[in-house]
Formats: sequence, structure tokens, C-alpha cells
Amino acid sequence: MSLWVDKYRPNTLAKLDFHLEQGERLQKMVTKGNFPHLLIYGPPGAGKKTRVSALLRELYGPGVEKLRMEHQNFTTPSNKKIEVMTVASNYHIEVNPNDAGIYDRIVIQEMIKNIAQAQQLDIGGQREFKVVILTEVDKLTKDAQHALRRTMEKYMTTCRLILCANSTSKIIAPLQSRCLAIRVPAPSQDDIIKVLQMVSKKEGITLPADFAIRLAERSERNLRRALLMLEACKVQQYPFSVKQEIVEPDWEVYLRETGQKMVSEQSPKALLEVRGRIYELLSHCIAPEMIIKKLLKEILKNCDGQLKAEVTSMAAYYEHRLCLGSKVIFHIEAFVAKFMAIYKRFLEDSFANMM
Amino acid sequence: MAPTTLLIVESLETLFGHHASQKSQNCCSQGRHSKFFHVDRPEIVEITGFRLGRAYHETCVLKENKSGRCTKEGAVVSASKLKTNAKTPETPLQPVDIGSVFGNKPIQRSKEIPEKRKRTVIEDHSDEDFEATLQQLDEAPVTKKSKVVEKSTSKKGKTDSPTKKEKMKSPAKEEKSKPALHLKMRKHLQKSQPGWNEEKDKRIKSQLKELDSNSNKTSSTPKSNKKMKAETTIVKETPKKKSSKDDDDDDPDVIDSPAFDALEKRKEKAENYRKFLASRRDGGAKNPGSKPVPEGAPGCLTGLTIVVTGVLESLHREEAEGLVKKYGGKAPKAVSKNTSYLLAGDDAGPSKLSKAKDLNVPMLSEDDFLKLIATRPAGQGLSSPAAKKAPTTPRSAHKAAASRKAEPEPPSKPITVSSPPKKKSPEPKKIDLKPQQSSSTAAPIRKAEPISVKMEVAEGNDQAQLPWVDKYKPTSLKQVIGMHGDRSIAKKLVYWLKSWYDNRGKKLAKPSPWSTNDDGAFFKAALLSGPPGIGKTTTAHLAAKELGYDLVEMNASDTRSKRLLHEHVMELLSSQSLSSYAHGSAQIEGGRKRVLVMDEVDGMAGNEDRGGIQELIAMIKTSKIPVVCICNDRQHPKIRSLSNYCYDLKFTKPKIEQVRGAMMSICFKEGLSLKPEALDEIIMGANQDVRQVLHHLSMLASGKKSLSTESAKLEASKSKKDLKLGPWDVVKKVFSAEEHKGMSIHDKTGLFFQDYSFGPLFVQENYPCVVPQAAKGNAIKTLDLLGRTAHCMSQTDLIEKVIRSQNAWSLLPVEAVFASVVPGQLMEGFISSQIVFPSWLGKNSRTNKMDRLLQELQTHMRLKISGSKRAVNLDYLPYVLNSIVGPLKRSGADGVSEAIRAMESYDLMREDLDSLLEVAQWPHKPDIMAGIEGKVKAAFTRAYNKEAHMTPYAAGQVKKGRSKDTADDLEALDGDEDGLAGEEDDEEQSQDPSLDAMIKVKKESKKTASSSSSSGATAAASRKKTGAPAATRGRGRGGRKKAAE
Repeated sequence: MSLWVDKYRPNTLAKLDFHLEQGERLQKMVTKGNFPHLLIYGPPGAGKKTRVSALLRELYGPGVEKLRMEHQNFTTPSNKKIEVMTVASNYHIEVNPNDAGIYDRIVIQEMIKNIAQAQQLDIGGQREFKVVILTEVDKLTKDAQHALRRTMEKYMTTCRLILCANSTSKIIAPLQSRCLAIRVPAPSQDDIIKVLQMVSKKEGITLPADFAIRLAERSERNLRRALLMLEACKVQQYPFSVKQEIVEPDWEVYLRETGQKMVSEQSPKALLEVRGRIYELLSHCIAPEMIIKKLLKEILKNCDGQLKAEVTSMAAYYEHRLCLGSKVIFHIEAFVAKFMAIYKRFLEDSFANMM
Repeated sequence: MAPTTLLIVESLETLFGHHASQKSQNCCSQGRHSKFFHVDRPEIVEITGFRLGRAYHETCVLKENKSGRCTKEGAVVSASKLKTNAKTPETPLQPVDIGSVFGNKPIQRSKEIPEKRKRTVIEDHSDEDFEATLQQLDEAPVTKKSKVVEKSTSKKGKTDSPTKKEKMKSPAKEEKSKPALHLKMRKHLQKSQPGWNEEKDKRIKSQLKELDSNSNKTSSTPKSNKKMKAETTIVKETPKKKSSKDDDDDDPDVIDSPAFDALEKRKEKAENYRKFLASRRDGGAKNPGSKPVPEGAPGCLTGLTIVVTGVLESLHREEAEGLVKKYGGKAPKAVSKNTSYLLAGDDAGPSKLSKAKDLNVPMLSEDDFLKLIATRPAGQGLSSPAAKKAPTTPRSAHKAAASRKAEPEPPSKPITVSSPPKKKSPEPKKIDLKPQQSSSTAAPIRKAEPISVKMEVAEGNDQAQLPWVDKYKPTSLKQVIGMHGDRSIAKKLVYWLKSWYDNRGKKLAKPSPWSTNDDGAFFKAALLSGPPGIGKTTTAHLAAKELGYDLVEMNASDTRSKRLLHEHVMELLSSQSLSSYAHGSAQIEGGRKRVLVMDEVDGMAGNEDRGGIQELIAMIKTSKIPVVCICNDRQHPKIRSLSNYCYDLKFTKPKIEQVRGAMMSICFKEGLSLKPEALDEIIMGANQDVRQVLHHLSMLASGKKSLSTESAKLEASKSKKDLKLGPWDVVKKVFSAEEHKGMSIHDKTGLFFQDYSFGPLFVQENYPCVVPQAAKGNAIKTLDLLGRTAHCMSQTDLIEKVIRSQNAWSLLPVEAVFASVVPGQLMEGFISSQIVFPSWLGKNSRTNKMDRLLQELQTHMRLKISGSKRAVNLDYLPYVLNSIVGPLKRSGADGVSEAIRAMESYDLMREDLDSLLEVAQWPHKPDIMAGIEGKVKAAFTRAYNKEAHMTPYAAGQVKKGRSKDTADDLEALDGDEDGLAGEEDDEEQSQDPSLDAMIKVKKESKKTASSSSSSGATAAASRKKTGAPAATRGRGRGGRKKAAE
């Protein structure tokens, strides 16, 4: 009894619930036999992986769903052993080179080349190529991405790559140009509601429309989250009431509280407290970009027009810097400290105006 | 041996023309020698023209000259003739018939070789003998005369040929080769005159001795051959003069044996005295500084020769000698006719006393001496002692005559300087002998200590040539600053070393590391640690010296890799020290005790010394000699492993007062007047590093001779030793407004470089705690400054990233500005709370751990979910956890199966649940498992472990150490599970019968669970890796135990 989100995952392109047009196009691509390297990108919870697995099934039939997990070992030039877990069927292999950390280049070079170099013996009844799925490509180091370049061209006949990413901005241009980029946008609110309703029907529960809308809003167009929330709410209280509280993940709550702290008090002591909270968030592996984004969102509720612009540009500035730097906390804290200074002044000014 | 060498040196000079005339006369006057050279000639001719010339010359003198070119009647042998001789070596050779000189007997030499060797040993000792003779003949005011000689000879000195010049320049080398030459000469003698063999030994000796004395004395006389000869006859009533005239046929036996005996006796005495000296070693005072030293008039002791002996009340012997010298007097080590006074303290040398009595030298006590200084008028001439002495000395006439003669001293001085260090010990001895007028009896005393000799040289030249650090190097343990006490480290070390060999026989227990009065008997090695410049190495050396151990030192200048260390020490253990031979001491008693000093062990690093520490430890374990290791950093990780095997002796910095006392006395000796406060400043500035202080003082002394406190303060701050600051201190300095006064931007940058990887972290951690002055308490201003500082830190991070990723280390100064200078400037003020260790390090490792857990979770759930690691963290985590924990919460034990099914559906293992809980737990939130009873938890664990779970991934890497259970488990899988479980429970029961009830409950539930799932389990197991059940099994037991609690 897996969660609904996994239980009702469509496994063929035909069963997709949204982006239908795109689904059709993919299907056509498969049937025509003209299958290039793909770069599938989009926000989390939009259905990238679902589309990829459906595509694979379209290509190879149900046999592709017989998956096995394997550990592959690599040795770096500095004699460090790395272990990478792969998920493979007879027809494809899926790997997240990111698991090897900064040694992802080794994984790309060794493994993918090995796979790509092997020729398919029996061409009849099979596709002449295998598929390699690389996930989180936007987190690959530049070295690894460059290592991928030539491989992609050279072994085109035996191997196709499907790259999954959240954003193309961190993928080098040569890779982008070698792939057919397919954007999987986040589902619209209506799409989400539609899916929620469908799942509810299949589960045999009634979902009030208002509640569905609220769920869709809260999910931030992340279908996965919407479904998880729905299930959590059902567990919490069924039948649903319109006023029912929607269970939020703890980290979100914690992050919001942190934002409120920043607004409520501006002092060195508050700065230290906020720092502690940010450390906590970071140690829970909440992405720093996410932290800044959510903090900003919370802060902006208390800012007027001009201040909003100023704070937002500041957030963007430090978000950029944290991508460039190595110690995330330095930049987030700089943002927090700067904001505190600006906000304190803003408060004083508005207080003076009121008097 | 020495005489020969000297002779050769001189004869070399002869050829060069420096002292051509004198030398030739000199040679002529010694019939003996000429004989030697005759004998030598055939070989020597081949070697150098010089020798040939020399030989030729001799033949001339002896009227054996067949060519008849050189006549003897001329008062001075003309230089030009010598020149021709030298330049055309063949011409004089031809006419000389060897047979005519030596006879035609066959040469026999081989049989005597062992004998010869014996002889060399004896000859070795004749060194002292020679010195004594030399001393006897030595005249005081040599330097002036030598100039004259130079002048007179330079006129004639045109004979130089290039090859000879070379030789002339390195007479020291020649000197060195003296034993060889000597031997060779002897060989030739044998060769040519086999009849000699029986008495050759003695004879040669006496000959040599005489030859020396003669040459020494006469070499400088710029007089004619004849005259010279005449003089020698007067001065020395040895029977050899006759023989010299008589040609070869002399008989040396007459004087030989008694002279030899006396010589032996003297040697013995000298030996005794040296031993005595060695036992006391220092001229330390009984109560140093107990008496005030009066200011005497400058030069008040001029012309006086005062010998200091014994232990004085308030002055070190060196100090007393220093005083004498300071006031223009001379302070030789030995009593001679020229000695004006003998300043005798307790335990004065008996030989000195007796000698003084013999020579009627008046004795002084220390008080008398001080009074003498205080009362004597300035610049008193030589007259009084000289006048007093003149009648008493029987040989004054001779002395006067000799004093007129030139001594080849100046040329010999550079010789000794340029000589290679091998021969060092005899050489300085020789120099300092010369400027002193002392009688032969006390001559061997000079051998006492190389250090004191060195100091004498330095002071004799009235210039500090040695750095002060060496000059005032402690010569006994008592002199080491801070080592006076009975419980001092030095004492401990000495005691440890002394008892080392005894302790090895005993069986000793390792002492507790906290025991304070451990004498280290257990340990085979000692580890001296402490800051630099406080005398660790010196202490080690002196301790070894004090105990008479031979010391083998290896320091950072030696490569100390594993292999080399091994070889070196093996050698050390299986060999014997040569130093006892080299010192000439007769007693060679089965090898002396040895100690290995490993200096600077913390420097044993890098490729060069790979494995050094490990080898050292291994060595210590098996060592048969004590090992003393010395290091600065006791906490170094490498040293830490070593320190387990070492008697830990920690040196601490001496107190300022301790250093001050010693430094004051040095200042006084060097005539540097320095106020104690000023000195304190310098000492503090150097951080009580004695070596540093000495360097600093000597630098000051080279400039002005006095220093006020203020300027000393300035000096001290200028020369302040760069101290290594800990990161805490760095942060304090970065933000403290006080410290910023007088700090340049350079200094502030320097703070960053104290530790550039740690510094920024500390600054970042602590800047919000600073109360900035600039804000003046204004909250907005403070926040503004905070913001700017935070921005700087963000900049720092960017720079650091670039530095690390692109190896752009040249950017470090830029980082320094952003990490230390600008934040310091902005937040200048004081730190309001305690400085905190950067939390980033801990948090970062926690982040990494969480990341690892998440990755594992994601890989385990991978087949069932589509999300990435991040999606798992942000979205799935709470819901998955809820689907597992929820049923347990809602329905307790009944929810167990549901929870397990939830876990199975996501391929999660029991461990994954723990990681899930850890990752999902947030602070200020109640524990997720809080609402669940322990019983339910236990039931859940048990139920989970009961079943074998299928995972798509290899679960083999779960845990180690369970292999023992595998056999049982395999049995259990055959269907005998119930019985086995029962057995196990019985086991537990017997272990802890009080838990009866609970176990029963458990057993029941388990049995039901197992019976319901046994078929499934076996089926599953067949598809499973064998590792999985083992793990399951082990965990099961753990779970039950947990439940029991």
C-alpha cells in the first residue's frame, strides 16, 4: 500500500493527465523511430520522471519495468573508491552521477562510455540503442558535463541519453544543443484539481471542490505535494471539512517562523538566533535557494512597495552569491543582516512619520 | 709528531722565502735533521722541489755536497741559490750518491710494521710533550717581533714557485699530514739503515723532540748559520748539537730514556689534572654575585698576569678572568714565571699552587683581588711585575734574547683558522698557547674544555668573535637558567639517565600518566618538550656530559627516515665510541655509556623522514641505550604517539627574574650597561626566549653601550618575537579597538594569516557579539555595521572559493582584507560575550550526515518513487513517516502490521526508519515517536524482525559481527524456527529470570507472528541473499532485549 502519489502514477504516455499534447508528441517521436537525446526539465512535481518512464515503456514495452538495483564501484585517480547505485532494466540504466559528489566525472567517463560502447547483438525486435537516464544533470560539475559532450555524439547509434534537470541554466550550452529539450511545466491549478478529484474518486472518497482548490494552492503547483497532502489530510480527518487544516511539512513551518523572527526583531541577538535556525534548516538539507526564497516570501508580507523591491533585489543578489561561494551560511546571514538593518530603518522612519 | 710538522712547515716557508734565511740556518744548526733529510731524500725529491731543495741545502751544510755549489761560509745562504735549487730539482740530485751517504745495505722494512703502529700511539701523546716544550720556549711578546721577521724575510722572499705557494698557503694541511709524514720518514730511515731498528724508536722521539724545540726557538732568528748554531749550543745543553756537527754518527741513547720517563710522568699528571677539571667542569662561584664588584680605574691591571684557580666566593672563574682582562691584565690558565698573582679560591688546582710556591708567586684571595681592582691606579706599567720577576728567573737572559727573536706567529694564526674542523681540538689549543707566557708544567691543563678554550681565544683577541649565544653557552647544568633546583627538569633527566642502565634489569610497571613524582624508571626514552630557546638541547647535552656518557645526536639536519634511522641505530648499538680514543685518555674500559639524542623530533616529517617516528618508537622499544627526544610541540599528533613511550619532561619558560639575573651578568661582562627594567622589557619582548634575548643584547652591544628603559621598550616592541596566536586571540585582536591603536593595515592583515583557514570562520561566528564603537549604541547604526560586516564575510567566502577551486593563492591578501581588516574596522569595539568556536564545522558535518541518510533513503525507495533526493526530503519525508508511524499511534499494537506493510511498500528497512526519524525531527517539535508506547515500539520491532523482508537492493552491508548467528538462522529457515526461538528465550530467561512475565508475553506474540509468517518468510528467504536473514536475526535479538528493558 504505497502512497497515492505512487499508486496512481500513470505508466504510459496515453494515461497522462496533463500536458497531453506533449505526451502525444513524445509518442509520435517513439513510433517514428527518430529518437534523439532528450533533455527533460521542469520544476519538481511536474511529472518529468513519470514521462520518462512512460516513454521507456513506449519504447521497449513492459519489460522495461522489471528493474534491478546495482551497486557499481569506481576508483578515482586518487585511489578513492566510490559506489554508485544504478537502477537498470534490460533496456536502460538510470544513474544519478551526483551520488559520487565531486567525482561525478569518473562515473560519466567510465560507466556511460562502457555502456555506450557495447553494441546490441540482436537487433531484431529490439531498438538498436539503449537508454541511459541521468538525473539531476543540473547538479553535475562542469567537468562531468564536458566529459559527457563527446560521448553523446560518438555513441549516438548505440546509446541515447535522457537528461533530467530542474533547470537548464546550469547545463552547459554544448549539452543543451545536443539534446532535444523538453520542458515539463508545473501543472496548472486546474490540472492539479483534476488529478486530485480523479484520485479521490478512485479511492472512493469525496473531495469538496473548495478543499481541492485550497490543496492546489498550497501545493504550489507541485502535483506530488498536492497528492501527498490530500492523503495526509484524509488520514487526519475524513470526511473533509472546508475549514480543515492542511498538514504542512515541518521544514516549511520552521522556515516561516524564521522569517517572522526576522521581521519581529532586529538586533544582533536576533541575528544570532536566526543564524541558529538557518543552520538547522541547512543541516536538514533544505536547499539554500529554497531558504532564501521562502524567507523572502515571508518577509515581503511586511514590506511596502519600495522596500519590497529593495529587499527582493538584495535576496537575488545574495542568492546568486551563495551559488558562487562555498559556505552558504555566510551569504544567507549577510542577507539577513542587511535586511535587518534596512527594515529597522524603515520601521523607525515609518514610526517617525506617524508621530 | 708535531715537531716534524712544524719543521716541515717552517722549511716550506724557507723555500718560499719568507724566512728563508732563518730557516736555512735553523736547519743547518740541526745536524740531526739534516740526517733525516738525507735519508729521506731519494723519495722526497720526487714529491716536491722544496724538499729537494731543502735536502740539498742540508747537504750543503753538512759538507756532503758533492756538487760543491753551495758553500757554508756565507752567513746567509743566498735566496737566489735556494731558488735555483728549488726550480731545478734534478741538478742537485744527480751528484749525491745515496750509497755514499747511507751505505749499500739492502732495504728492510716490512717486518717492522706492527711495531711502527705501536709507536704511533706513543707518538700521539708526545703531542702534549711538545706543547710543554713549546711552552717552555715560548716568549710573551711575540707579535711585535714577528713583524720584523716578516720584513726581513720579505726582502729575500723571491723564491716562490707557484706550486710551493700553494703549499705555503695551506700549511695547516701539511700540519695535518704530519703523522703520515713522520711515519714515512721513519720508514725511510728503516729502509736505508736497517741497523737502527732496535733503538730507532726512542731515538726518533728524542730527536724529534729536540728538533722541535730547536726549530721552534731558532726558527725566527734572522742570523747566520754559524751564529745560530752557537746559540743553540748555549741554550740547550743537549748532546745532540755535537752530533749535528758530527754528521750521522751520533748516539741519542744518552738522554733518551730519562727524558721519556719524565715525559710519561708529566703526562700522567696532566691526565689527573684534566680529570679533576672535568669533575668540576665549571669555574662556578659558590655564591654568585654575593659581593659587589668595584669599578676599577681603566687599565689598572695592565701588565699584571693573574692566574685564577679554584672556586671563588662570588665570581665565576670566567668572570674573574674577564675582570682581569677588562682592566688590561692577562689571565692565562697556567702559572708561569711571568705570573704576578695567583687568585686562588677553594679547591685550587694543586699543581698550580705548588708551582706558584716554587716560583714565589704571591697568592690573592678574592677579596684581595677586588681590592686590587678598586685601589690600583690606572694604566700601571709592566714594570713592577717584570722587575720583580727578572732576577728570580734564571733564564731571563735567554728569554730576553728570545723575545727579540721573531716568532712566526702571525702566519700561523690564519693557518689555524683556515684549517678544517677535523683537527679542531688541538688547533685552538695551539693558538692560545702562544699568547700566553706560562711554564710547561701546566700546559696540559689547556686541554680541559673546548668551550673555555674558545672563549679564551675570543677574549684574547679582545673581540667577541663568537656569537654571545655560543660564548655564554652554559657549561654545566647549574648554569642553565631555571635548572638550579633539586626538582628541576635537568635533575630529573640526569637521575633518569644515571639510573637508566640499572633500571633495565628491573621489571617496572608503567606509571599512571597523572602521577607527579614519577622518576621515569619505566621509560626507555625521555621526551623533552618546550618552547624554543630555553635550553632543551643544552640540557640534554650537559646531562650526558655530566654523567660522562657519549652522546650521539641526530637532529633535523640529518635525514631520519625509517631506513636510515634503522641502519644508523643498528650501527650505534653494535659499535663503540671512538671518543675515548680520540681524547687520548689511556683508559679504554669496555666502551663508555652512550645516549642517543634525537633533537627536533617534531621536525621529522615529510618525504625525507617518512616513517621516522614509527621507527623511533620501535627503536625505543628495543633500545639498549637511553634515548632522549627533544621537541617543541608536545601536542603534535605525531609526537603524541611517541610520548606514550617516553618519560615526559616538560620545559617551561623561565621566569623573567631568572633570565634577568643571567643576562645582567652577561651585560656586565660585555660592558653593556642596561637597566634591569630595560632588560625586562627585552626579555618580555622575546617571550622569555633566552636565546632570543642574547641575540638581542648582542645586537644592542654592537651599537650603543647603554640603553634607557624607554628605548628598550621601543626596541622590545620593535623586535617583539612574532608570536603565534590562537584563533581566539586573533578574533579578539581583530575586533578590539584597544589593539587597533598602533596597528597598521599590515598588522591587521597579519592577523588573518595566523591561520587563514580558521580565522574567517571565527570572525564570522563572533562578529554579532561585538559592540561597535562607531555605532555609539545606536541600534540602527549597529545593524547597519553588522550588515556591512556580514557582506564582507560573504565576500570572503567568494574569494575563498576562487582560491580553493582555482588555486589562486595570490588572492589570499585580498581575502585577508575582507576577512580581518574591514570587519575589524567596521566593528571596532569590544566583544561583549565569550568568543565561540565556529559552529559551521559541526553544522557542516551534520549536513553531510543528513545528506548521506537522505541519499540512502532515496536509493532504497527509488523503485517506488520518482523523486530525487531533494524531493524525498521536502515532500515525501513527513508523509512516508506518517504512513509508518501513524498506524502505530492510532491503534497501538494493532497498527504494527499496517506500519510494516507501509515500510515494505517503500522497501524501507528498520534502519531507514531511524534515519527517517532523524531527518524529519525538528527542534522545538515533540518527538515523533513520543505518542507511542514502548510496548508498541517493541512489538513493531519484533514483528519487523520476525519477517524476512524483500528488498530490491543488496542488504548485505547492514552490519558486521553477526556472522556467528548465521548458522542458527539457516537452521531456523528450515522450519525449526519456533523451537529455536524458544531455546533462545530460555537462554534469556536463565540470564535474567526476573523478566519472566514479559518474556512470556513476548514469546507468545512472537510465536503467533512467526507461525503466521513462517511460510512467507521461508519463501522470501529463498529469494534473498543469505546476509539478510543474519542481519534480521541479530536485530531481532537486540529488539527483544530492548523490550525486556
